Amino acid sequence: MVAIMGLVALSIASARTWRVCHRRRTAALIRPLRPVLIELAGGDEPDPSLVRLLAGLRPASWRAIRPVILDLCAKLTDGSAEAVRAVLVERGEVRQALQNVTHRSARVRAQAVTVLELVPQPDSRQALLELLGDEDIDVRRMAARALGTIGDETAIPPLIAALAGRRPVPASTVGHCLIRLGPIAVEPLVLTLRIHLSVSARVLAAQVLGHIGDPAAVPGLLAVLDRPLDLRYWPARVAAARALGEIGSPAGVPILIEGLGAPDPALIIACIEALAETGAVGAVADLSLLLHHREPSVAKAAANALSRLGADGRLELCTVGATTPETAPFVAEALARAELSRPRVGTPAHVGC
Amino acid sequence: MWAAELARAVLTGFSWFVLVYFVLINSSYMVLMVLAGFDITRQQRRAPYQGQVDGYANPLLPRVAVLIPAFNEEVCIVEAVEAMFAMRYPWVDVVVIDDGSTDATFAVLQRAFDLVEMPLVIIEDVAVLGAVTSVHVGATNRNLSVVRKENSGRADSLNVGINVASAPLVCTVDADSLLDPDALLHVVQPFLTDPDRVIATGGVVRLVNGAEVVAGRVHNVIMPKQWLTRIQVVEYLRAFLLGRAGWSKLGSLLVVSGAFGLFRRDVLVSVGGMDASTIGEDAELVVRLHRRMREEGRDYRIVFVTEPVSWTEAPETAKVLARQRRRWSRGLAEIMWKHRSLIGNPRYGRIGLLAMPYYLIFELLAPLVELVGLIAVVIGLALGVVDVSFAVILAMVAFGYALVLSLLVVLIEELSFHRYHRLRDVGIAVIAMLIENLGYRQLTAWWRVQGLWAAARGRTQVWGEMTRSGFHPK
Repeated sequence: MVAIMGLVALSIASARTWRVCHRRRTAALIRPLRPVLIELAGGDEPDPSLVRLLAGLRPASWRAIRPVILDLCAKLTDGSAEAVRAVLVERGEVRQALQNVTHRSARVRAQAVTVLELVPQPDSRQALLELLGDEDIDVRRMAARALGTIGDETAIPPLIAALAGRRPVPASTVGHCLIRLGPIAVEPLVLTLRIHLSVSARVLAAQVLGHIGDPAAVPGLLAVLDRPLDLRYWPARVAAARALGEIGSPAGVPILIEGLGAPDPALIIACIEALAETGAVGAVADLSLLLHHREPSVAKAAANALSRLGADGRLELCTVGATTPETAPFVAEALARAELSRPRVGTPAHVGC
Repeated sequence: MWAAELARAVLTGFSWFVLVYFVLINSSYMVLMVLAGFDITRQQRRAPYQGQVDGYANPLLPRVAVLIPAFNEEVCIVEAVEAMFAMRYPWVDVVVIDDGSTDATFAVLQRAFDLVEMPLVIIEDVAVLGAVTSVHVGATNRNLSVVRKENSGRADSLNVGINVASAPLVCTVDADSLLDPDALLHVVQPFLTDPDRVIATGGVVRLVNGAEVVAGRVHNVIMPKQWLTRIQVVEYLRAFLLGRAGWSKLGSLLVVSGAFGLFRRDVLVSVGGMDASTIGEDAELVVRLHRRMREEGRDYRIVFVTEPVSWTEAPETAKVLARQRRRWSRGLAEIMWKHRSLIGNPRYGRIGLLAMPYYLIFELLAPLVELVGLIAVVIGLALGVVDVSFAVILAMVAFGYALVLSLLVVLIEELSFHRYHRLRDVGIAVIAMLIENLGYRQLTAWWRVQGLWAAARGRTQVWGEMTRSGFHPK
């Protein structure tokens, strides 16, 4: 027992000693290279000799400085970034990464993806697409992120396809990639919204379309909202309503108003909030009716929306609040929120009734 | 004569029972630690690739409402709230629930955050006991809400917070908790990776006593000056790095600490929120979640994430520590009793067949076995029934084996997290483990037995006051 304790205590001491020594050794190797890194990162036209110098480092020095190089590559732009990428290419990192994408260690494959993301190559696209189906979820996630960074339009269908299946990529990662790809992703996303078999893929498509904010997505979103009897679209309708609010196109207002009559309170609230964000003053009367809704959350949302629809909305709030006591608490809250939201300079001093 | 023989036989038999008990309990800890060790190592090696760095920039991150129940927390509440907003997470609402504080908790908040009263309509998705007296929001930071209510306990305060929160995820923390800047980013990851199944996640809770805190962030982790607190540091390391991580790996996590837990709000509402009648409401909630999910046949996961840390204050006096341990023990007893139908029930899978029986035998009853066993061995030695070599073996199994486990926990901490930069602090941790067995363990066992007794008698539990030192920059 004492021997085991001694062994463990020795292991603790050894681990600490190793870590301290490793840190000191790494710092000693990096120290003389710091001016080189600063110069490389500093200008738009770095000296090519610096690239050669870094590419020709001894293995120990390269191992020490490699994380810094990769970190710099992710943060720099323009000429400096090109110089850092050139270092990685000269060093053979990209060639090694292309080989490592099939390594048995998930960690090595993930490291390879990091390099391929930073130094896009014609060969790396196919390798990344294949890694979307990797057995390790973190590798799949990184491959998806890399494809989003590279900005390859042709990767959009595989990214969307990676949402489903035996080895899916997390929806939040795919969604983020598609948001970064921007308007070029709108058409495939609208198609996904309409026909994808997976409910969560359709919901994600609507969310991403809202974040991209391209009005070209509006007809597709309206088509989803406008199918109240089609059960396949029900889960995506709430997301579609929210997306219409984020895009803020007036074209969505009529169907959003129709959505106020839906049986699902979550959909009603999404439509209410979308109308408020769109600034749909024409919806004031319909929102006013919802102040009496049996679901308090709907009434509350309607009151808050009316307070955001300018003088007309607030007038309606005050009128209804004065005549129907049961709506008074919602009206009071909505007006208080509006008062709190107003800028303090050059505006009317009082928002309430 | 026969009575003496009987007594001898009982003492001998019980001594052997205690020996076997400690072999089993420490061996189970070893299994948990091996599982935890693998999981922690895996998570640490993957940390650079798990996307927290740019995850912050993902617009699809879910909004989180951080619920802070507070009773007489004037010393640290402002720092706690500031720390929450200083976290690297883009969408955070903070809801402070002032549970009828009699000190200046509300006043310091009002002064610090320029609170204005808001006539908020609170929809009672979850039933509450204590009436809300007023709601206030920050004039410049509208993501902060402070709810004042009648005193009705932590659980009920959290239920009020659940009702006020509108975010899809709610995070429960203590008023004396400081979260690491990336804590939310880490603890939200399982919800992103497996959004359909994950319903709750928990992170590590560590002790902030003695550490340097600057602007709501723990900068330099140092062992506290008092031995009482130093021993608790070691205890927390064991409980979280060993216990929770191991149980999570087995899919049988029974406790997500109230000091740092993240839950889906819709699931909390569906199970009725916190149970205000139990003292261990955080653990009771998780057991109830397991129960409901299994009864409904739903595929779900409750996950422990080893990287994110919530820093909390440990009691610095024996009096407050005793109250805490009695409360924990009583809470566990109440949970075991309330959910006794799960114990040994195959309908509840690993929860019923593994976790619940384990907690009953090796957590709830452990202090009783330990104390009675100690007394039995001492009496046995005095009567010559138990020989010295047996007593030594028992001591090795009970204390020595536990010491080895504690050392292994420190090794795991050293290999994985290395929060203690000074070698001196590691040395102090090792010494704390040694002296833990010289009175501290026995004392906490006694307090836990008192808690059991109180639970058995059904006495009303009072939380009592935790004497706060606050987070003082060094």
